Amino acid sequence: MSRAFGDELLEVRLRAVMEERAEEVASRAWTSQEMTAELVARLGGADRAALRRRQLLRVGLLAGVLVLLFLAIALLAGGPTRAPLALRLAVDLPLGGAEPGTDTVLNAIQLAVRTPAGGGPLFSIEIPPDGVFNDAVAGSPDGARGADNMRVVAGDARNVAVIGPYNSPVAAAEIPVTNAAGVLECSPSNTAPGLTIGQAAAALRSRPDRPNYVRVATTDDMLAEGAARFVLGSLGKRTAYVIYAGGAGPEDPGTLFIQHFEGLGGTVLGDARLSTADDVARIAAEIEALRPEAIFDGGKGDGAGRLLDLLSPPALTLPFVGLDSLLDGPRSEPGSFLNLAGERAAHAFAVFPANLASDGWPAFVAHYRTAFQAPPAPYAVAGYACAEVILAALQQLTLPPSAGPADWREALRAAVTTPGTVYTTALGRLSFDANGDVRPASISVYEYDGSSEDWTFREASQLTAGP
Amino acid sequence: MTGSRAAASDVRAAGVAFEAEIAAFVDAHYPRLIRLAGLICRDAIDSEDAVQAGLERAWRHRQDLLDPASLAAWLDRIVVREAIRLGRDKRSLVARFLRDPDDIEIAMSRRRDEAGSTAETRVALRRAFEALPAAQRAVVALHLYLGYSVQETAEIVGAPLETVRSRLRLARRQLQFQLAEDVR
Repeated sequence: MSRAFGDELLEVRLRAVMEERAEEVASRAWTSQEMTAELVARLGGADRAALRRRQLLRVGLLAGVLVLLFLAIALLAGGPTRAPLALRLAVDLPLGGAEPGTDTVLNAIQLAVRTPAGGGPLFSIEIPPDGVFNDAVAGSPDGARGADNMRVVAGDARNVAVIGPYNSPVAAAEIPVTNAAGVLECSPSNTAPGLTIGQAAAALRSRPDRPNYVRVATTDDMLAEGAARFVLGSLGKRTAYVIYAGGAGPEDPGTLFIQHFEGLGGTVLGDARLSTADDVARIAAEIEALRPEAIFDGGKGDGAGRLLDLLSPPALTLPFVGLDSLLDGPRSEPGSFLNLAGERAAHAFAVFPANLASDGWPAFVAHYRTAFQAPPAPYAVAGYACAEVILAALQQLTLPPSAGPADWREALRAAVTTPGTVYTTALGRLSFDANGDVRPASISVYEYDGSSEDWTFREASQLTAGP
Repeated sequence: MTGSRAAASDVRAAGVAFEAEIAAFVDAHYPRLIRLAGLICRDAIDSEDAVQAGLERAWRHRQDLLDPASLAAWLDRIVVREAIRLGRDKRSLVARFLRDPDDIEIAMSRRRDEAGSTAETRVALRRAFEALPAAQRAVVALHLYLGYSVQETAEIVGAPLETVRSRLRLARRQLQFQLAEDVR
């Protein structure tokens, strides 16, 4: 066959590149079985309608009478002429600066509700001003306030679900209320394993037979595993120094990181708790003496920033790996990790508990920027994904015209907490397991970008099987 | 069995046969079409949309096709045109509001290919290919990836022969230029 491209070497290389891209897209897109199911659903109506018409002729008058009877019942019930049922979605977040970027999480949720998925022939959904709850008290997330908020939400049946809360301790206070009331909660950012697994989770639920809580963020144990795999695999570092977030308890990210890092063949040369200003100087001296190949810090951004400020070369060139708490804003944000560390953050990485390598993430960012003329904070996409899950589930519900808001609330709770249902979201395809935890469990890694003086996405990895 | 139960049974049997027919249709064409669309669209979601639209349209109008042997090319034509449309819309949106939409893809390719300069060249070439306009990516994909002749490519994209030649020429120049810039 004649070719019109005129550059054989380029042609060979280009074919290889196209092959690579085509395979990547094919691996991320629907399988043949999924496409078949979609087409059957879409085309079935037309083709089966023809078949049904033939069957109607065969059963004759009886079917006609049944149809007329059905229409009469439907008309009496007011079904075909009934207006869509007005439903509400509640949002519970620490607002007013209590946590960085939560205003963009709220924006993202409102953006999702304004898409066509936010309504249909059977229902319409809105987030009214009194449906936005702030669970912060005196600038800090507060569990008691969160629980009070949930009592208000539960008291109005039009509130079919809540997106939130943002912080795990607040979730621990809210779940007993929402579980007793049967109100669905989808958290964009809770990562504490004890909210969904084990005795701690069981103690939060008076109605374990009626699950009501799901989250799109990967749990801390998976996050720590992802961080350990990143240090060993992507960075190729075999030894590390570990700083705990708190008291080095079994659920502390530092403890979890050590378990995974050593389990995967790494060696922890030293570990420490960072709670006072004196700790910072002691830890810096210890790191320089022990000479690890990497530092893992499970704590907050301000402590990490102060630590980097005290390190001297060559310790400053060590990869400094932290969790999502380091993602507290760009360098221009006063008090943020990047603001405190400055150029010393050049080798810093932050592990985020969700998959940002999906095609949906850049599309979401573009959508958000268009709407708000500003970039979203990292967790905004997770709030958007929660809204996508809830709206998709609502769209699938087929309730009779007589169903009221309480029926929709219960049907929605049951639908979303049914394990295995697959949702296509800005965080990729995801489902929830029987505990309400997202599957696949995935993490993403951000790195510092000196040119923009902000975090930038580096890579993502999947830690469990998914849909 | 009553008459209405027999009718219901017939409906179920017809439904099973219908699904099997759709499955065979999808199995025969989807793997090729999703890869083709993936070379033209910006992401997997648009690619799925383009292919779904193509398969749905082709199924509904399959009786109109006079020559069954030309089914594959007919499907390619429907999907490519839909993919170009989606690729064009998405590109303008992404280009306006997102600093570098290819960062993820490039970052992932770079991780896989950290062996040396060959990988760098491949990443640069991929970046350059993905930066081409959707209409140029379509003719390059049809001609070089699926092996259609220039004449066949022109028929599929619905453009004059000279336009397709011109798009191929422009694509080659653009790729050569970008490749030289990126690996410099």
